[in-house]
Amino acid sequence: MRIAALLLAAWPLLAAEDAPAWVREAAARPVPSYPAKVSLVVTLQEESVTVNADGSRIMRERGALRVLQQLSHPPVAQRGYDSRNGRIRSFQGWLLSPSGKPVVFGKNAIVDRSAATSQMYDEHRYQALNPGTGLAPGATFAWEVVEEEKTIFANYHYPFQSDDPVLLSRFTLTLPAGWEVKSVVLNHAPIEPRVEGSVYSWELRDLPWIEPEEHSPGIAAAAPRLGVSYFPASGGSGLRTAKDWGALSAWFSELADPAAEASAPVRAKAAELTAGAKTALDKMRALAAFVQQTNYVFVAIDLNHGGGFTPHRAEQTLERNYGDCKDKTALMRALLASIGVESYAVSIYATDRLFVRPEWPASQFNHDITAIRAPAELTLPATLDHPRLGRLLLFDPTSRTTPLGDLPDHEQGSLALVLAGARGELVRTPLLPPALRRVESDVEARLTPEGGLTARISRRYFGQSAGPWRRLLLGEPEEFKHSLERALSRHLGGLTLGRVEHSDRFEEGQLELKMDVAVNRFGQIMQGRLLIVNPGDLAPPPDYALPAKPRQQPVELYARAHTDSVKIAVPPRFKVDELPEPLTLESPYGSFHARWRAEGASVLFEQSVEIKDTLAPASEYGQVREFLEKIATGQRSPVVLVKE
Amino acid sequence: MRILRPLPVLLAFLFGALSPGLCQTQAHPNAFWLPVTDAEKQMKEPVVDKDAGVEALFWRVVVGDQRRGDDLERVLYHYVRLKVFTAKGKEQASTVDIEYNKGTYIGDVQGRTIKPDGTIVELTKDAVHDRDVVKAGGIKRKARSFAMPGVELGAIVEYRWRETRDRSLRYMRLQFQREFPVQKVTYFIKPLPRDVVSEIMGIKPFNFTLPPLNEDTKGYSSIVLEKMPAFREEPLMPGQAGVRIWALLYYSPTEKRDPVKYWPNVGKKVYKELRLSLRADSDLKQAAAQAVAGAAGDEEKALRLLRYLRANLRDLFDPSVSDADRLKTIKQRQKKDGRSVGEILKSGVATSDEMNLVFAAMASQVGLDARPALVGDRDDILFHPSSLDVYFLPNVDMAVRIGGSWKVYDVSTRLLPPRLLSWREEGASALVTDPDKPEFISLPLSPPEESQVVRQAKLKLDAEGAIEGDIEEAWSGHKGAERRGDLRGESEARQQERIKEEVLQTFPSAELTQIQVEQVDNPEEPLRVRYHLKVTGYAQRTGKRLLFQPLFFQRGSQPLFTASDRRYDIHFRYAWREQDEVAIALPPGFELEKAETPGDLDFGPPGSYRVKLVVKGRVELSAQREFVFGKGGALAFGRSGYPQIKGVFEEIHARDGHILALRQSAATGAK
Repeated sequence: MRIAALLLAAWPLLAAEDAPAWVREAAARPVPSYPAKVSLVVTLQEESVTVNADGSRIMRERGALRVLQQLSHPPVAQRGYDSRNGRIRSFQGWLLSPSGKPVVFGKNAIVDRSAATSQMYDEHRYQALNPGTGLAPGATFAWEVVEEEKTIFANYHYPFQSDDPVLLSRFTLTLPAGWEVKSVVLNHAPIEPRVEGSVYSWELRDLPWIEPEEHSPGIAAAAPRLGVSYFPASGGSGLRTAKDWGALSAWFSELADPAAEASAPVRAKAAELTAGAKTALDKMRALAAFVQQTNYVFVAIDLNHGGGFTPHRAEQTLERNYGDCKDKTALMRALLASIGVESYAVSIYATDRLFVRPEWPASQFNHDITAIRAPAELTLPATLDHPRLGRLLLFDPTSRTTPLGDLPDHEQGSLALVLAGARGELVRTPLLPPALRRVESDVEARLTPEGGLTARISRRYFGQSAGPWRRLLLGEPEEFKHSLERALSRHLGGLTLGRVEHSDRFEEGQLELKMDVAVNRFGQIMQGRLLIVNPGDLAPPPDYALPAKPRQQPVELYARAHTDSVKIAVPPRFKVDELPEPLTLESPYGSFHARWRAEGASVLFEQSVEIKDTLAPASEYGQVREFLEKIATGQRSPVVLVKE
Repeated sequence: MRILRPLPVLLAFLFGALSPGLCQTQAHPNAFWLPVTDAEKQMKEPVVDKDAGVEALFWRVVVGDQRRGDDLERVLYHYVRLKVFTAKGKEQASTVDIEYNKGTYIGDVQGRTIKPDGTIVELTKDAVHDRDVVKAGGIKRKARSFAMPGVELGAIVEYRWRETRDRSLRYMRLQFQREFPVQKVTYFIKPLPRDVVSEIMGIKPFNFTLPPLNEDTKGYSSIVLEKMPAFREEPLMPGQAGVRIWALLYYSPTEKRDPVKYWPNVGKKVYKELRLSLRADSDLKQAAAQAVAGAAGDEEKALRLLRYLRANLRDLFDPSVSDADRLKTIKQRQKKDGRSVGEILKSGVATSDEMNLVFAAMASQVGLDARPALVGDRDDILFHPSSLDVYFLPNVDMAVRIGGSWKVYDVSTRLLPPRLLSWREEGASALVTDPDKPEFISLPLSPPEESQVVRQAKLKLDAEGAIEGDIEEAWSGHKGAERRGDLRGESEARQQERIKEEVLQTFPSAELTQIQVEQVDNPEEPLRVRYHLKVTGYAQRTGKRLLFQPLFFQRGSQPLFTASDRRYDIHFRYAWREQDEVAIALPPGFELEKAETPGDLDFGPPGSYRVKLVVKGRVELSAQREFVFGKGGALAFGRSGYPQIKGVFEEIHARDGHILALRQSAATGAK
């Protein structure tokens, strides 16, 4: 037994008060039958936002959930807030036992946490209520939070549910008289609000459970969501509004552009960096490399007043040599301006291609990248030709593993707002073809009569496929070596990693790894005369495996491609006894070709795999899974050698 | 904090007398930036580790204990100077995050970067951020963070800060190894003035030899260690305290501790102190009597009490305890006299030591000879009686005399059967307290048979390579505890889902039905898992053969050790035994092609590996596997033995992957 270290937590209060009527009502709501895996149902999810004439707003959130199954970890009621421009005014909670006996949580049961995790500082905070014990099946946990904030934003995002089923979800917006409201419902058929004076209310009932599933789009693409924007009748509110993407671009450009000014120190740095560069592309690459090396440090301040979209001045970022995504973008733009290249900041959602929706012109973004006005003759992959803005080369200076001309996987095929003042538009970022992120591998190996193997493995990683290795190479050499050993051992068993070489042609988007490997037991000798080997184990492992189970959500696959060649010299006095039949698969999701040949005293295995960027409906899950399983099985097909 | 004790005797600093009154008005050694030498500026390669991305040129900490009014405080002045060599090092050196709790204050943060061209960029005040990481009920955990400006390759980065602690000063661990290599680590230490306390400060080194201490004219004594490698973790390594270079700073009474008398005195004192807190109220007496009603013998009584408490007391940090209940308990514990055993039982929430106190109180009420035992921690500091301080016996269990010898119990390890202790306590020393004759006992290491994984599969293979059948698994002891930790508290449906997800990791095409999970909450019985399984493509078809792995349960297993090199010794947590029986009905028209076994493997005292393959009537294959490890307490191996240990597990992994071939019999002909 360990003498416990005392961590902190909230303190109680359990008082013998009753729960309010709305909690009783939510607890009494009949619950339909759900799959046994569903642990709880939200009987009420409600948020009421009241906007004052000065644009400040008060949000009252009510929630109630019924426990259906025993829970290993109790659900926690949580609300985020901006600690500079707002506060949680009150946070109450109630627990109704299955018999209906109430427990009331006092304000001292609330824990207040910083939202900052990896970032240096974040004014965003959370308050949370953990009900702890008592959540037996049949119990109801309910809470009410009131938050107030001052903001210049005039829109609001309300997800009708998370993955738990919801019986009643309601959003109510109360505006000052005469204000206008626009709304859009995402992932659901349109809903007209109920309007009473200047009170608008949207409601959905009986929302089903959304089971988290492998390789499915995020919850934001599955759960119904509401986006509302409101517009004051006249000025004086202090709100910034945008009725279309152009207006939003104009506003965000106002915030972003001043920081991208090419001041004297920035111009001097640009001149220094590009001094040896001969072409425009070389100059851009030199600037890009410099901004990529700028340390990433995120400080979130004054978010409700546009702090999340206002970079530090480029010369400040240059001096400090650190900044966040918008700071890096501003510095990149300032450096580009110094050499006469025009560019724009671009707002994007970095972690989900499907998050941003064109029908709701509002800030749906969490990341900034750069769009460079590129000359027509520049044909790098991450470019798009825009009818009004011209050829734009998209570049993410925050990604240290993505060279100019490429784009991180999650940012491809996504909607992004080019901040070109009032001319700015929402654009679709390029989706780069699988071949541009392919892996090519060549293996020359020699097998011993006992099944041991020595091999020289060469792998060339193109585009985004090089990212994980680049990240490892940025770290300690020992960790890089151990990662290689772990990855190879997973399929080859015990091995000794010999010489490892790598060369990174970063600007060309190519990384090559060469390594010598000795595998203790690559083949298995049987009956003293048969030697069984799987040449495919020397190629990179299959990219995807989907489980055999019913599917609710679409399947989302990111493009993958590799071509592999494995040549194994057969031991003396052995010959090929059995080779797998060649395999060819063509499907809407990609293609697979594999063949095994005896070539002199060697066995040659060659395969090419291409998986396309796919968003397939759940009804096609079986086909997608079968296609991927055939690739995995095919790659592991054994070859039988026999002693002559 | 209160002064420890008024001064009855003069103090002596353990490693040298100090001049009283020094340093009260003088600047501490970290008051100014130290000159940056040309050698430091021109340094191109790390010194300690050639692969390091960043290296500390020095890390200096000034530790000064002092009186402030009626209180005592410890002030630490930290000063770090780093040199950046690579992009990764630049990243490591660019941000600093100092977290601290109530009772600690961080101040005077200063920093600067000296660029390779000599330019100095100062850390500005607006770049230092404070935040409350979490706050609740008046308790806060805070952080002070800053990003160093102008960090680039070749730069020298240095920062310093002051840390003030007003909590317990009795023990503090001085770390010499950090996340990056350090060329020179220096601790300057100044104990409490002699007129303040009656205790003296001592330093105990771990994993290094304490060098001669340097005493300066300002009253500080210093410890200097050079070329400290970065600390990195490895799988199955000893506890950090066993490998990391560190020292314990502590206060102890002035009188020299007598190795012969010290532990007996501790045993008597602890016994007396804890006996006082074992006074039972009527409710507790009644509960004890009810719990053991009808029990035959002392051992049965002890077991029943333990079961009763596990059923009625939840651990303070159990997820089912609300934040509110947790803090309520914490605040009650902070009362001057703590909580009585009756209050603990009534609250239903307890720390692990409180659970054992209640156990002892109840045991005493039912006539058992029970008393607290102070127990070492195998995952922290390896205890030796020559270490004369209770700090080295951090745990409190309860010893019950059964059949003339002591049996040690721990109520809090509720995932283990009552007869087992946490692996961290197995093999550790325990001081059984007593009013007259406290005694040390060695807690036994559990044998492999106590932690078993027993699996059975009855399967049928078809001609296309699909396999289908029933699986049954039983997990006991420490193996069972690990499994229970994953499943405990989940609904039945979620437990079944977890099992399904695990199997799908190995067999993505598997279809699982009839999943049953039993005895999750009863560690006195093995945890049982049963399911029916169907997997396509289990065997691979070649033109004329069907190749398959007879050891079904080892399919998809990974080698235990993959790294070619090893930094530390290898410590397994506990001994275990795996026993598998797999029966595979062979597809009609196929017969085994001269089946061979992978063979047994004996690797000396630690254990053995046995595999037996038997063909029954040409239609069924029986595969039996037994793997035992850690026999006779052979759980710790020196670093030099790593190649052998790695080799053993690789060999086992290879044998586990043994393939058999089925060939279509002549009668059926080629398909």
